[in-house]
Amino acid sequence: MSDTSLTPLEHELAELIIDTLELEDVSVDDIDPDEPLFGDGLGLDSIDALELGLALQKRYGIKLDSDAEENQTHFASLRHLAALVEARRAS
Amino acid sequence: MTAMTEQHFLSAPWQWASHLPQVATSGACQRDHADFCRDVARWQQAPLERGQDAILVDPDPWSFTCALLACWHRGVRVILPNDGQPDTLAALAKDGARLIGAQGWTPPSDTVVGTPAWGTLSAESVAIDIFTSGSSGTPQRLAKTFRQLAHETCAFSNTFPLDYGVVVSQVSLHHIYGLSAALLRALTEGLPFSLTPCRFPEDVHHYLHATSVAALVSSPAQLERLPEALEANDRPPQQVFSSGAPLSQNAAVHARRQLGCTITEIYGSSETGAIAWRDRTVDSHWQPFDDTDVRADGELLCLRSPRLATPGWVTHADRVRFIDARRFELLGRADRIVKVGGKRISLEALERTLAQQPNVLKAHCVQPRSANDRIAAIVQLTPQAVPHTSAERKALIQALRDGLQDAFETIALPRYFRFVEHWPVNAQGKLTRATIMRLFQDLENRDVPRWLGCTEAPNDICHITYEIPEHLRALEGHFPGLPIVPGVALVHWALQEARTRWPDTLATGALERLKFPTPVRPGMRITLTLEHTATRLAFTIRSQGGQHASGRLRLEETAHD
Repeated sequence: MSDTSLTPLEHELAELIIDTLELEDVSVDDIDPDEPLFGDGLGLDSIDALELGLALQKRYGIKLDSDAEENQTHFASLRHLAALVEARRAS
Repeated sequence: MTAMTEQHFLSAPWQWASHLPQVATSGACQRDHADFCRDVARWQQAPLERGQDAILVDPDPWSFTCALLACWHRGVRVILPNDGQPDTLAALAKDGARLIGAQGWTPPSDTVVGTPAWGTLSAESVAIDIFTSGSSGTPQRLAKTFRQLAHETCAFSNTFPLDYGVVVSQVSLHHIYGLSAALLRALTEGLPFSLTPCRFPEDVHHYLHATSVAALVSSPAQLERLPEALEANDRPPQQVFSSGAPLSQNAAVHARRQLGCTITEIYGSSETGAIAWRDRTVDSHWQPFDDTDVRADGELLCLRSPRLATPGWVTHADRVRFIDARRFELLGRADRIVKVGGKRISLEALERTLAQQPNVLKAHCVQPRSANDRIAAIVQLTPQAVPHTSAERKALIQALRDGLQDAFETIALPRYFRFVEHWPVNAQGKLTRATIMRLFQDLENRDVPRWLGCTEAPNDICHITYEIPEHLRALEGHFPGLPIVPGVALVHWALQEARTRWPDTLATGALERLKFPTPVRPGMRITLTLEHTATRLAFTIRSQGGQHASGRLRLEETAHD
């Protein structure tokens, strides 16, 4: 089992996901940073991907390409998403 | 038996003592025709001006009946609201109608009056204004003429003849079904009706025990809650009717076993009146009443009957499939195909699949916020499956989503779940839009707990179930790492709920004996019990784990009658 403690950015993103998508039964502690956000893990879907994309743009000024395949990598897990935000924010 | 006709109804046979010697009974207590004439005459003293409509609200069947007939035979049109909420009544009174009954004018009990004026009822005059239940939006006002009411009543009399006995209604007489299938039918056929309200199974039990019941006019919500065993000396009713919503196969079998009588389901609506019937333990298809013509218009039901406001064909919002010319299957309302993110989804297909999952008794899917938005599900569970903690809730939601995954795309899966033990219907047996909004109110308002229904018990006691949302605002700062709901929030919820319920008596009062033995945590399912007596309002909050809060509000001595 991997380390499930969250970095401050991961924590922030977890809150953003819960608030944006109104996941009513999920708290930050429930999100395993290595678990998939879509499909089996949190069970998010394509509408969630769009909404999350908008929220990321609003909060961090990050524009995600509409390339679905690339997004799938970015949204693969909380840890992946944090890495993306880190990278794009820096550039 | 000779067929019941419109003419017979319009002749108002209830005015003759020879037709209706006993008007109402509770077993122990009777009302004969002399009582009836006296009270109709008293209600005819109501101070109504010429042409002024009456708004009638009265939960007591006897007062309701006497007041209604008093108005009709004076030529007064009667508005029957769905509820007696102050806002509802104020809105109706704005048009100049006068409120009579429990919350308005009632005849002084010592009035000595002569015989009632039995003015004639004319077929095309408006007898009543009723309101749709509001299950698919704001309640609509509908006028019904005496002709329509006559045919509502005749449909029951001619299709399901009764021998002498009491007609017992478990449903509101303010609604077309209870009014025609129970009250007007009894009056027209010369049968006594039940003198007391019969909402609870104990009431029905009492009538079965103390009288000979001709017909029990009921609804799925009530038939599902029949006690396990009726005593051996109870006599089965001749007929049992259910309307307002479909009766599940399980409930039909259960009710049939408990009551010893087949259950006839009536399909209809406030707009159309009764359309068709079935006994689903024999045939799950619907058969129209003999006076009703049916056909399909595309996939929608089209009908023509003397109960409609107009003589021609009317297209209904329900989708149908015909088995033969006189039998059909209902496929659900046309407006129950919705879009989520542009994809068409059948809410009924979702509900059917949900209802097949383990421990699920019933499910209703909605879009609580707006069209094209996420789907939410209200799910009734067997008592042992009800989640009491957030971990149990999460596991259950996961299991339900897994169960739907094979048949639906992820996008169609309900995002919000509300788990209830009792189906949250109103007195007419309907799950209203207002109740649905209340069940999902916590989505919009982080100050309120998640409301999951209220069950009423006799003697001003009620139990309200809540869940504590993870995102409740009151949890913020109490305390990091170990969130609990502050006691002040619990007391606030209890008082708010009590004041909505008894607005007149609880405006003031002193809080005392507050106790908070164990804290309430996020995700917990709790029950608030309110008990209102002459001198106090007591509240307790419990969960599966024990008691969390209790206290009481001492009331002014004269505050309650």
